Amino acid sequence: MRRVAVIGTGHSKFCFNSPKTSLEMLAEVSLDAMNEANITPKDVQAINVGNVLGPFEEGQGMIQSFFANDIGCFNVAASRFEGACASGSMAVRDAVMWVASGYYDIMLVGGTEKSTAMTTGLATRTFAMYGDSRYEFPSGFTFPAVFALLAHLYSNQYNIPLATLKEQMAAVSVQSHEYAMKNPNAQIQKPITKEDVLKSFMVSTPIQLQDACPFSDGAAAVVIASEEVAKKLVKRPVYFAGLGQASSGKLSSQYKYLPRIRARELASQQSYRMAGLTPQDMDICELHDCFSIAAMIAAEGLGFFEYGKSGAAWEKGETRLGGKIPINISGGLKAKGHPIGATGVSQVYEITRQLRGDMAEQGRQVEGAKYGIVDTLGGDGVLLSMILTNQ
Amino acid sequence: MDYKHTFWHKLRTGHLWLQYCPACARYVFYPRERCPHCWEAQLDWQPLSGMGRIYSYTVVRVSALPEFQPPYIYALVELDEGVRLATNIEDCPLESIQVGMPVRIKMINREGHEALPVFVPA
Repeated sequence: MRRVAVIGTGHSKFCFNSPKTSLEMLAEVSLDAMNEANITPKDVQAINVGNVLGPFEEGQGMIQSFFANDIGCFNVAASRFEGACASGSMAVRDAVMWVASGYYDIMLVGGTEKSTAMTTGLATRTFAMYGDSRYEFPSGFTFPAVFALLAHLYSNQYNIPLATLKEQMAAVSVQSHEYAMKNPNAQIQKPITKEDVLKSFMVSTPIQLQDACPFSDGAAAVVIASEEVAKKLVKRPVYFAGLGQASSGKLSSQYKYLPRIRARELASQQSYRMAGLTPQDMDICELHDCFSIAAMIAAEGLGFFEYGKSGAAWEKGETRLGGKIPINISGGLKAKGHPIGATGVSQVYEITRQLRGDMAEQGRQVEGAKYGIVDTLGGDGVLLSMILTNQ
Repeated sequence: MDYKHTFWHKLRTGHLWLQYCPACARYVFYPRERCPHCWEAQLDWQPLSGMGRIYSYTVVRVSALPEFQPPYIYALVELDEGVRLATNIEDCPLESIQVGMPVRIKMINREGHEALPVFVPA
């Protein structure tokens, strides 16, 4: 397999109620990514797009082929990926494998979502479609409820009093808001305190509003190319070193490991193994913090902290710039925003720019970063892991 | 086989029936083609005791799903026979619920389901 690099990146501001359509947002960031990669649309041999709820949001399915033509990539192969919140990461991983195999030299990967075009009722109903519809939805399945169950389980299994756990969860949200204020693309640009989190309204015990990411609109794109092509086109390619993907069944049937998500551990082990690296080698991480408790579970599953210890790590600042492993220095899903089809691509954008040293001007650069890891969770069951490097 | 239909249809007897694997003597939830533990193909349907414990839970305070009026308790119940299912806990003061609490099954009628298994404190 050939080495594959990110050679161009584009990212919209994530927001509530974008005046643009999913296609317009995606076209704009894709043109940015192509400009940065020093290519034109005719150089793009194939396109992958992450988009989850387009049919419900805008009455628009099959967005990928219209998108290809909108940006002047006429008649190329264009594929849409749907794996709930991990759709964008699936689109990236798949494209990397096509280029690694030698089938294509240059691909464009984008993700776009316009979740806020739906009413809250429709959004809640359609998001619940990514849990089990046959045996879990009839009891009132919602995603806050799933992570709330995991929070109670986490408290119980690791013997952490709920009040202590709630403070730790609040620390996760507080840190994300702080870094989002340095990220011009972030949806939420205001600081919050622990007290704000603990005072926010209860969604599903013990999860409160400020433990949860918002509904978002937004898009992100990257151009990827083989190493040989990348070196001709750009000065600072950022390479994919490891890839992993695994699946789990519905929550009730995940027997031995909860609140750990076993598929995440398997996916990240695949990517560490492929890269020949360990969690200790990572300099920065973007992980899937759809809820504060989800961030804690993810950081443990990726091997950064012992089980039951990540909340304390957040409180001690080990996840901050200069800490043991800087996590979600973008603001994360919590404050950067979570346009579900775009999220995985946005995470790759963030790690790429960190590894290129581009974040200094925003005051959130991880100095000397060589290796970064992306972690994305889709619904109950799609887990993606990707390691990137500037080495 | 039409597993989903069989699962919901058998609940109308007033009991929870699940697939049972005679080869490894374990119950299987959710219903499927083969035993997930030993890959046995011939699974029976057996009634369960309907007794179990709360594995974890949440009190849903906000929901925009029209079928579900908050507050309601969404829970994973671990049955005495060793399987877990997602369900609701009813007839239970919200402040008294906790992980590990013993519960028993109760069949209710909810829109779209003539017999839906929920659990109440045992």
